[in-house]
Amino acid sequence: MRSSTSNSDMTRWLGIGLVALAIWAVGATVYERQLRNVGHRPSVIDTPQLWAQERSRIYGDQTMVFIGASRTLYGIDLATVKVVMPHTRPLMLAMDGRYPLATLKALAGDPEFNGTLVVDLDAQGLSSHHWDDQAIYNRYFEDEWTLSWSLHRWLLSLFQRYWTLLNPRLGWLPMSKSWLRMAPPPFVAHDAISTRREGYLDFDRVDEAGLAQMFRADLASELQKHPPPPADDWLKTLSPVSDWVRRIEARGGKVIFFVPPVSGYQAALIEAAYPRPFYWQRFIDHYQLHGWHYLDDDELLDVILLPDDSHVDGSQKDAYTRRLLSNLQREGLL
Amino acid sequence: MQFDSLTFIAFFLAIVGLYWRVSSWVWRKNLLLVASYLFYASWNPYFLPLLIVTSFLDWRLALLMARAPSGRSRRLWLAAIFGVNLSVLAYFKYANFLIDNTNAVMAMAGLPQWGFQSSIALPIGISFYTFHSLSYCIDVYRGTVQPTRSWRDYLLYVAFFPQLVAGPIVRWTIMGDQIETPRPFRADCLGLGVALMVVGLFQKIVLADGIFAPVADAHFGQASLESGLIAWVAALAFTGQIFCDFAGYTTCAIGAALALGFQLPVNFQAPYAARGFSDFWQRWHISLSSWLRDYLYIPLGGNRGHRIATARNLVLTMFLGGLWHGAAWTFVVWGLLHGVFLVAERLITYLADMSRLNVPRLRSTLGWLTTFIAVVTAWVFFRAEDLSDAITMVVAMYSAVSLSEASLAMLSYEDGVAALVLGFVVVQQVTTRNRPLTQMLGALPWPVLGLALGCMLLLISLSSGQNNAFIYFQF
Repeated sequence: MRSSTSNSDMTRWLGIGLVALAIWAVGATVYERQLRNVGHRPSVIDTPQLWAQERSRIYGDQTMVFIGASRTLYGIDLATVKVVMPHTRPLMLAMDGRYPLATLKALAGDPEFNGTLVVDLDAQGLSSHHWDDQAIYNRYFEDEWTLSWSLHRWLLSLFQRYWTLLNPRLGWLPMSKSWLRMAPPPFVAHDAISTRREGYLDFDRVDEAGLAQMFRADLASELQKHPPPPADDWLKTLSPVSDWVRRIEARGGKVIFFVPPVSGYQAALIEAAYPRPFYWQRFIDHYQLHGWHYLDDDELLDVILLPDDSHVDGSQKDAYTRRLLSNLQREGLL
Repeated sequence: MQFDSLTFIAFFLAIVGLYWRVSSWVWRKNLLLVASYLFYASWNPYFLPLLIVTSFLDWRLALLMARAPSGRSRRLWLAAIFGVNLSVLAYFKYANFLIDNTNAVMAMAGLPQWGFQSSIALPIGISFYTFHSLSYCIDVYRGTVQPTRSWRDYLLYVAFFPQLVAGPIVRWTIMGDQIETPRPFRADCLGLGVALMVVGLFQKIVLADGIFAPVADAHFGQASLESGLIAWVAALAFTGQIFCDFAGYTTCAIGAALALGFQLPVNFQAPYAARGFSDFWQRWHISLSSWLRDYLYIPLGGNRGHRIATARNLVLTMFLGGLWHGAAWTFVVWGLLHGVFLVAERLITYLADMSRLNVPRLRSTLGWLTTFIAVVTAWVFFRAEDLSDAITMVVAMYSAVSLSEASLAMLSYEDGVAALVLGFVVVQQVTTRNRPLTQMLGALPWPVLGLALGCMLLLISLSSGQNNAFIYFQF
């Protein structure tokens, strides 16, 4: 290698590099400490890339893929699934705040998928305005996901596990907004996600009652905005869902629907809007699908606590997962 | 593999480390070629054969053209080269546009539409590498460069990964010698290269994606654009985003190349400090505008003929420049607008000269202000989803803009930050309008440069978010 570098050049750039790295290291450490001092903790951040990484692993008849919304994302313990059913390869594709029909449709359209699909879906989530909730993630996987992004995401998850400052919610722009008193400081999250997209909720870090009230208000507002359609009309719209299930079954796969537990005012609201016998149960019976409802287990809500009326605390994930699998096995669904 | 991905950082460190360890220049070039193809395949491996075949074909055809005995046969070879390159470009880039518009016209005429919907995927960087290749072939035809006998050198020239997918569009006259002559290791090139990459990533991640894009995305195509003030904020935010996104990419590209010992030409030189539209095009995407000037505008006749012919050449060149960016009417209108701006500028300059109105300071201030406002307005067409959205927004911008308390209350903190940062960007460009970035970095005392780079690295780390694709990747 020919070199035409003078010693002064080398020294100058070495100095620049060292100063830059020192500034970065000191600044990052101070910022990180500040975040931790007010209670923030590192967590992998759930994004379409993280989801796509798991989505790319669904192949093989031993896979058991969980899809649904936050109650499954934060409720199902994949390690427990592996212990209870050692021959399966569990994967988590549920998403916070999004019902899963778009993913069910995409998996039905993937000729390589022939595993078991466990679908957390209540009657509200079957309503047509929720069908595309997860479409953006599926589109990202189909159009943009590459091996290169997979490596990027793997490295990013590795860093996010140890550095709180890599959370976009706690970046310099939102923090500067709060420092200038133009917004409240970013809330201390009670959720965490692992690199395999297993969620964990720690209700000791939040006001449970306040959270329950917020979910109640959200649900009431959602039901007001999108009132339940007449049950017969609603049922008729669901024949494509049945077709998607048949396509997966025709390849040797299996689809199991279940309604995860809710309690308190939320349970009352949803039952009043979508009474089980007229909606969810008719969907299962009419299209001859595999389904289980949390009300089928009379003692479930005595054993599993839902601090915000709809989500399981992280400490009870193992118990909840065992109970769910045991119920599905008892019904002959697994 | 975007420059702002951790995959690229790992890839780049591995390549730079390996490259400077290999002593043979031939093997270093082989390494760069393989790395460039790996870089390209990371987007879509199925398009790699297209890149290899078209560039190999261009190399071979250019060689045959140079050996052709007569001017006529040379012209035929050039036509074949144009045929191959433009057909590939037209098929991948414009087929969908053609089909959609033909269907629309058929529908309007009440005629049956074409029975198929095209869904051809666009190979990334095709517009850039096609222009690379064409510039080489035209230069060989003109006799301004000797064709290279090494297919490997030519393939590396086209595929060199720092500039492969979004430029700068580098001529063989700049790259040929650098590829043929061994690059010596220089710590200042490596250091400056890495520094430029940090600056480029700062422009892309912190400014374009962190500050400008959220504001532009929030307002473009929204009902709130009925407010003229919000429409201006959106247009200004995109003005900042497009510069920081594209200039950020180019700065990274120049830095990555420099770290490997190659010097790529400057592609942006304070464009928002331009004092006229021709000045703007000598500062914005310089490698494209000089390509259009040398291979399109001048062959069309340039400004050698009558004023009307010059105006026609300007508008035609900018129309094709707009179409080069994308197969959509919004890009066509954007290009045409710039064509009209250039014609208007010539006319106004002519009238001012005729009237002997010569107040240089007034002319330069007015020229800057007019250029900036017109460029911002034209960006609306570049960014909008369709012409109707763009027109709605421009109408809102030029209706009465209210600065009442109620209007100002509609602005968010993010809107304010975007406007403020764009203000800094513009002031920086106006005050350093003719100083290249490399010169400015080189002139800084080393502790100050270290401090600045450290702060940029810190802000990059604190702006972690989605990796938005570079805007110019779609072209």
